Amino acid sequence: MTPQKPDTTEIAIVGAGPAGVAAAVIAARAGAAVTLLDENTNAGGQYYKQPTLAESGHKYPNSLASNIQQGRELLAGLNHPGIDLQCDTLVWNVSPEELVLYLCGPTGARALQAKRIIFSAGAYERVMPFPGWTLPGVIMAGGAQLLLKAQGLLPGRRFLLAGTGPLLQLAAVQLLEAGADIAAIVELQPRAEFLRTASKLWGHWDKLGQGIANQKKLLQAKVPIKYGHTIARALGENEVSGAVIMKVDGDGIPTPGSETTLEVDSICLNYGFIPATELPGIAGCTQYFDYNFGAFATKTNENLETSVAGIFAAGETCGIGGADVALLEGQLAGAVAARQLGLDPETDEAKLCQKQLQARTVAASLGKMFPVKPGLCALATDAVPVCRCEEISAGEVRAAIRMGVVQLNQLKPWTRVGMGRCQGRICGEILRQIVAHETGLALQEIQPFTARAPVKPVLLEEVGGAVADTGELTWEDHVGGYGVART
Amino acid sequence: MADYQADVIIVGGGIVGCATAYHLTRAGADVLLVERDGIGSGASGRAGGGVRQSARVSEEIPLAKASVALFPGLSDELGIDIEYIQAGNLRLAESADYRRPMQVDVARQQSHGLDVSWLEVADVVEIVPALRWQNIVGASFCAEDGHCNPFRLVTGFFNKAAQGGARVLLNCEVQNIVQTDSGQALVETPSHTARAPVVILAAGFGSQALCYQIGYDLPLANVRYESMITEPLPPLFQQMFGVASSDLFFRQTSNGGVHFGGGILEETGQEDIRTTSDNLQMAVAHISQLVTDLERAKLLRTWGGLDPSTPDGMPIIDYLNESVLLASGFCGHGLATGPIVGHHLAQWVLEGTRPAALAAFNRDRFDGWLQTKWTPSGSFAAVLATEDTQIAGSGAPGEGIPFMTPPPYEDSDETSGPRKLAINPQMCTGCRMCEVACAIKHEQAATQVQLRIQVVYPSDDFFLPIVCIHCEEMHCLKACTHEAMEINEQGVVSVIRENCTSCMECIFVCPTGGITHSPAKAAVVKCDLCDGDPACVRYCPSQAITFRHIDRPAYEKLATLMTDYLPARETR
Amino acid sequence: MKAQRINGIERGEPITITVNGKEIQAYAGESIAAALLATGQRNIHQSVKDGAPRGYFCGMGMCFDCVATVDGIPNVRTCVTQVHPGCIVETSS
Repeated sequence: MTPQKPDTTEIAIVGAGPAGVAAAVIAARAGAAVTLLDENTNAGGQYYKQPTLAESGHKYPNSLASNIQQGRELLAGLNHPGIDLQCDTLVWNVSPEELVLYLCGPTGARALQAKRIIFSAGAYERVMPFPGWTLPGVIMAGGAQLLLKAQGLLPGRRFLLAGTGPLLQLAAVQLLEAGADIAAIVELQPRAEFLRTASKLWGHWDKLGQGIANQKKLLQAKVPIKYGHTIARALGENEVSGAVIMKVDGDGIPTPGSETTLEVDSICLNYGFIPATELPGIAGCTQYFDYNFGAFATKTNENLETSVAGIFAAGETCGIGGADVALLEGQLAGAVAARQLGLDPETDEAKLCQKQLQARTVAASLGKMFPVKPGLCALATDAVPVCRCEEISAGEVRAAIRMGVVQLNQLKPWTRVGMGRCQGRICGEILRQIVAHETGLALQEIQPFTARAPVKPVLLEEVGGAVADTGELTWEDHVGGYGVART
Repeated sequence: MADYQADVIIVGGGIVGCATAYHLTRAGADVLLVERDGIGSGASGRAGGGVRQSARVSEEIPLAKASVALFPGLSDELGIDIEYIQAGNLRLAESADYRRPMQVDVARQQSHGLDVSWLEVADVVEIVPALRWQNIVGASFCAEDGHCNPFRLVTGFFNKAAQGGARVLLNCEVQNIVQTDSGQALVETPSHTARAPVVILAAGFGSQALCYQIGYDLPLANVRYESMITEPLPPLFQQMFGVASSDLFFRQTSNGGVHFGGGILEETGQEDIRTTSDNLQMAVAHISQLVTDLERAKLLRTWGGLDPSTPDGMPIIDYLNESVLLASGFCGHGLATGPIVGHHLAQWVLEGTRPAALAAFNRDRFDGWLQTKWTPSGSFAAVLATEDTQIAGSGAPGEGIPFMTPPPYEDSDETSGPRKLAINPQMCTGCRMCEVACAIKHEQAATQVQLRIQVVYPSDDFFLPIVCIHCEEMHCLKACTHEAMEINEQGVVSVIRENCTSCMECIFVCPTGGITHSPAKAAVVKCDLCDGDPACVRYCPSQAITFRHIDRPAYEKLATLMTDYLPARETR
Repeated sequence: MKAQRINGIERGEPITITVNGKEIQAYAGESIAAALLATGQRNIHQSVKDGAPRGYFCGMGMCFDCVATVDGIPNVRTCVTQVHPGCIVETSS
């Protein structure tokens, strides 16, 4: 095996969502050679997901069409000679010392060495388990949006949307406009609390305006919004045929006797978002606990530099903030990175910083409005699987907690949670909630699973094929040497 | 008053701690187990899963044998399926270089009563058709070895201990162990104190800091390796595998994932559980050379492994003072030997006398040693002790590595003239220990720099160290025009580094390959006989190199051999 | 439950793919999961331990619940893998 020299670039950006695209555009305009990497087929991320169908003549429902159009305008900036956009390319590992990214994509496996790296990998949807949540037909609300936007596909007829946060209402409107029937929206937060915290958005008319417009459309369609409720069970044998919803108290604990059964064929869930921090985690970037959104995120300074030299984080990766924050942070990270390389991005970074902080403040108040409540853990009765990959039940996890486990990594010897294909992306946050609930520890005391390569499973030939010749190691070194047996 | 009072406090919730807790509670002792993190969070939970008695250091073989004998019954005993598969261990030789050293090693193991044998490649592939025969020359095979699920083994012992009444403090780091006047030890953690007549210190690498406080400098380094596992695959093989170069192991777990690990073994002074892309890719490339079609499997997960290791590859199991019993430094063999060690430790504590089976693991065996360290390749070697590097309290520089006793010099009839290196290729096993020894002596680095002495492998069964034979003609001295060669009263020619211009004239004129160029030194280097005590001679395990008076015909024969086989150096 | 291709949204070239030996109609640019959902196959993956049905869940390639064997490669995420002519899909349920 001959080690290959890594490809090189000046600024490598991982994730071509709003933050990544904004960073790429500003850095490239300043004259930097930018490589923009994304695992998806198109740039745009989940928020500005572009249709992967035919190129022209889309007749999307209103709420989708404007979002697709906005995305298209943003993505037009990528048409710049300084930007090398590589889609369908998974970044599965990173060497922080040499700033090398390990990729596999359409042209095979490669290593890419950069002078600066920006992680803008976005976020995942948060979900909480309940009996029946693994049934086909139970999908994430964002997953439903992606089917509408990217595939022009309506995944069911009659929907229940459950969870907490503004995405539920937006997704409901989009489903409605695509021809769906919405049985109900089940919002965890009680109505009074919802309105009280909404007043904190006073002055941010665009945010309030979006929410009000959505509510208006839902009202017109006579979609019931059940505040202070939760989904308690998905019904069905091989796929969803119904759902049971329940009233909850202030702690999110379901009130016995309040069950209502709805006849639905699809259930969409969203309990907010979790930052995608795998790559910064592998790189050893310091993480912090974001109290507003109840999740760990990558820590940055005001210039969006992480604790590891040469590595930036922008957008959701450094804390949930939404597309507005992501766009601003992308610009800021791109500008600072370009300036560090001796280029002039012709931006006022101080001003960007200020705008970004303002946008973060708004996002933070939104985050505080929709907390996940501990009572939801009670829905995951002992028989309910919490780790979908390894099929580990809540009961097995609780048994391990009774043996003294208080950290996610400590669960592994007992239960194999988080050791499957998804690497704990789904169960990690659920387990943090369950451990907190069972032990009484605060969420911030419970560390997430250690981030490990590969970020997602990769073929061994792709791993072995991406050997970067970063100086010393050779195959001969590897098989050489004589030793006392250790293996 | 202490918060806790127990008969025995065990520090460390790994395999040794949990197995010991199990055996003690079974005997009715009141046990308190204190663990800094969770059960199996350290080396045990990161282990490769091998349950092996073969390829052990000789002194450890009886212990490993006894432990392997326990494994078939453990699933029943612990009430948990430990996923034990006893299908044998194959240690694969990937190049002819390893054939002789491994055959010699197989003979050594057989002499200790192990049922281990050398298999040629055809036999290896017959046992495991999924291997790529093209990249294998043979293997040592021990049918009684196997592997198990480390998680199940550790939690199984812990469960039983807890059921037996052991009390447990998890997420509780022991900060100090104090000897009190009452003859009891006081264990201090940030939140608790605990008192017991006996404290068993089984905290893996974490034992080192605690030992230091007690006044014992535990010679321990953490050897970091990396582990990885593929997605579940259809059944490929049941055996446990290692390789002669010791930097790869693999097995298929009962859920189908191929668990493998290795990479460049690095010694660290801390508990380092990083994974690096270099190691990952090396290990993946390495296993892909050995297992057919594995490159089309998907890598699922990686993690950092830990081998808290001692200089001689064996644990230290001994009392440090009246109440603290240390059991650490299992060098990556703890999972396999833990069950029997737990049994013996419990017996030692309960009966008060050291079980004979643990006699080899006393702590004073390192007294009088050269300071030793693991090398990156996983071999270990003595490092010349200096005042700076010598471990405090472990005595003066000593006589060398105990299990490689220096051979007695065999006096030839010739007793006049200076002594020279006498090399017997028939006895050379190609192990390259001479290269390591020479490098340590001259470069203070335990790597095979192959400068002054270099083993060549002209064929599968003929090996020869190429080294200066200190000829009487002294071509090099005559050829040097820069006054960079000098001769001492014993007639040994050596290089004056400052004067050497790297003109290479001496290399060209030397017929036997006795001089090489070192780019790092920007000078030529050659054997200087180590001032009359050659390191290569001292550490040659098979006595192929001796230092003695040598008669003219023997010397001429040696010169011819060197000249004949010199070209092999180019192809090595 | 059959997912509906939304009327009026233009689609790419029709593509025939083979799912568990049967040919189904899809369109260029569609994900394998979308093509399966459109034929009414929601049940894509069978869990190993209890054989429970699993399907499209996160839609963005993070959960690995919609995996199938695609062109001989096992455990391919159908939600982020596009159909292509001659594509052969084997689902475990």
